[in-house]
Amino acid sequence: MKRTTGALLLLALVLGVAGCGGKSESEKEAEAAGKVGASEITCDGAALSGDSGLAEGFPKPSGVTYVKTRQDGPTTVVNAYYEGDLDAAYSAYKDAFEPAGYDIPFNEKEENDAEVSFEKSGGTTGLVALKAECDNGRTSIRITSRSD
Amino acid sequence: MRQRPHVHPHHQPLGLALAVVLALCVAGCGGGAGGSSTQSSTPLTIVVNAPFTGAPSVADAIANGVDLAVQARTQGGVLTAGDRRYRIKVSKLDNELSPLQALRNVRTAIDDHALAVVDEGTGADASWSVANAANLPIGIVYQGGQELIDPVKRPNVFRIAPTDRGLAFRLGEYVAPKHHKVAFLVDDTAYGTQGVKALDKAWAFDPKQVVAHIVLPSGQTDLSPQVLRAQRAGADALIVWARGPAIASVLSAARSRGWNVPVYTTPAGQDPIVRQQLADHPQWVDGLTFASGRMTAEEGPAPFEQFQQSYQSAFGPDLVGVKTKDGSAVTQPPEFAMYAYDMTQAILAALQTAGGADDRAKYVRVLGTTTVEGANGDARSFNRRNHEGVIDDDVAFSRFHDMTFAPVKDDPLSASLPTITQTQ
Repeated sequence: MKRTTGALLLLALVLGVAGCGGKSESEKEAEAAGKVGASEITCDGAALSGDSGLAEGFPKPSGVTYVKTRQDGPTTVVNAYYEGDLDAAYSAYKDAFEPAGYDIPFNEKEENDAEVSFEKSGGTTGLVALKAECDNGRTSIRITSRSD
Repeated sequence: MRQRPHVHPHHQPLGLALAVVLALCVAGCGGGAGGSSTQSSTPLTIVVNAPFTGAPSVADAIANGVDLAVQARTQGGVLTAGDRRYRIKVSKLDNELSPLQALRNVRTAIDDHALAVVDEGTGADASWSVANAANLPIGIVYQGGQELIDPVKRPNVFRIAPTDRGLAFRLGEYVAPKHHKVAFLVDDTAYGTQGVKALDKAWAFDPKQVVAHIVLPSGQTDLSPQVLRAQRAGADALIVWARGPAIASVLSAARSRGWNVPVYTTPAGQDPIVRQQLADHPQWVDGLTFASGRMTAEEGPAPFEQFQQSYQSAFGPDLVGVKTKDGSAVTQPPEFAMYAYDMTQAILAALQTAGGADDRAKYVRVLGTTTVEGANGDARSFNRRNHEGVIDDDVAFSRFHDMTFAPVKDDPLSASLPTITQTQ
């Protein structure tokens, strides 16, 4: 009897911990998603010291600071920020591609974000995604570059 | 700045749905003697060239998207362009998944002086040139082969659908960091052969990761030998680029032998036939991950949800034919209907901007510079350098659980997307 009572108490304790202190699967997923999303917004950080991984001659408008770079399989992903607002960042990239030998197949600006896609003969394509989510006057930049 | 001609912001979804139902009724009932709205209007046909028998869920979604756009943009099926009134009709032709039949259908469209062909993509390599000679635009809304679109060589071909290149590179970005021995399993249709080209390009950064290229013969229901080959090659992930039935057969072959290998696939993974074929083993569908275009845009899910509601009000929900564990009927979100809807919006917008259909060459040129706001709020934009309406970065990943799918949480774009309602 004592053993049974003890087991029940232990079970109740475990369930209690699970119910009160633990996180459900959906909570864990939401938390993970938040972290993944937040990691793609760049409002500050030290300038990247090494190679960005982007092609030589890839346009870097004045005011842009590359912070992080990584290789996701075939694709180079660079996180950066622009010292200025969304309008200025959008114009800076739109103006920079053509002189650098790139086409802009698509560009779009909305209230809080903008996109400038780029393409260069030889099979390099990608996107500059701009987001007005910084409260320090900067614009977050995420560049993806894919080469055949 | 951008217009949304199909849904005015102040319209309530119910109001739009009623308007669409009313318009469908008018279009269906008012043809013969005709009401005043159809008098002195010139008939113009949009041809839907799709596999109504070979892949009916894809074809029906495309046809419904075209129908919905026509009814949303016209007054009882009548559209004014310049000083002319056109009665827009939709004609559905089955391509039977055959390039030859697809070409025949395009010739029929030419003979009928059709306004445009909204096309699943089969046979477009053969049909674009005859269509181009007749100034007939082809709007592809399913297949993503890279060679299908070339604004210079094929000025009359446009696409609103994820490209194979975008799907393959995004699969590479998502899968390569997780698994280092992948097998490509592709079917022997044009869909699969175009797909494997894109996969090979995407994995060119490290071809050694690919331990097997395996062809899945069309019509073969037992794919155990092919799956066993992938297992023996040491694959720790499968990338399946095939039509729905083959995807189901791969899952069946792997799971029935106890091989719980991760399976990644293309938009075909959400084809209802995959779940229908595995309805007796719903747990085999769990974990299937597919790449497809994001359904909702940066501005949020509201526009897509409104479109979904209008679609269901007009045609009823697309029932998958399976249920969740709690007994809810599963429905299919109208992703490919959305692409067909957006393509049709662009076609009709170009007709109006060109001032009518008399000068077909001008109308095709105008279509090549048209921007419309799509059903999900994203811009669909063509220009002289770009005839693609879905950019590579808008490819997201979803994973099945309990016969419905939700965006994955370990990909930055996908993690930002909401789950679309799929039960009723």
